[in-house]
Amino acid sequence: MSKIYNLSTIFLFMLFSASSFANNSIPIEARRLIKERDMLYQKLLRADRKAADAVLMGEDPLEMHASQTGLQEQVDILQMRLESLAIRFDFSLPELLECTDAHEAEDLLEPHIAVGRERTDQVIRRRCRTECRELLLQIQFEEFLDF
Amino acid sequence: MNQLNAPKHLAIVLLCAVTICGGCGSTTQVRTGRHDQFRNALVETCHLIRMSEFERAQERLDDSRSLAMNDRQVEKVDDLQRVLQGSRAMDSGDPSSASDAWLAIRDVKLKQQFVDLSIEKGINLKALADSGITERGMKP
Repeated sequence: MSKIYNLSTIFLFMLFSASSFANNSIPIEARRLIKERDMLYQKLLRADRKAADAVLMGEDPLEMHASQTGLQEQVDILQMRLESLAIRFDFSLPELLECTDAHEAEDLLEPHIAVGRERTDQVIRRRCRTECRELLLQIQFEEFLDF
Repeated sequence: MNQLNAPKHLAIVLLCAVTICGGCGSTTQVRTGRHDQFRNALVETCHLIRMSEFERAQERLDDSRSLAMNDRQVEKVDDLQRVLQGSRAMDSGDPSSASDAWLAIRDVKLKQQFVDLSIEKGINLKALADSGITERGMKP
């Protein structure tokens, strides 16, 4: 009975050691860099979304584009450093997460659709106003007033 | 005695005749003045509509309505009200309501001008009015 107990203790100890080794297989510096890279990448995704909204609203996204480029460069540099660390210390690098915000497709699309609809309405209103004013200028009331 | 009263009677009759004639003349003058006022108000309304000054046009049209004296004049005012209503609707981006109002104009020639000029600008008033009716569920 005590033999079985000893064996299970050893097995548990081995399992614990293996798991701690797996956790420690990524160097601390690399883990810090991964965290930083992920944070910057999420920032970049948000900047992309903001720029897309600005374009839809008809604004000039030049400034936003500059900040996007800066963020992309930072992410690229960190990714390169991490890849070289991964080769040197032989660990697998976690992939970049596309989107951490849990959004439904409709939730994401709805604001864009609303913006598009508003812009279309604006164009129609502007067009109607111009055409109406031109049309009224061409109306001849002389005959109507001849009574 | 009768001979003495004759000039007196004649004078009274003449006075009455002068009074009646004067009254009629003044009534005719008032009618003519009111007609001119009505016409001027209508001309000004048309001018303001052409300039797209709809608020002022509505004010002058209200003046015209208060000056209108017969059915024909009231009809003119009603037609201009339709023109104004349609213009306001089109100006605020509601072409369907504009079509409804413009197509309701009774003066055939004036209405035809709106239809023709709209077609020139690529706007089919009849189709727009029909689509408005369909949207409101009156047509299948």
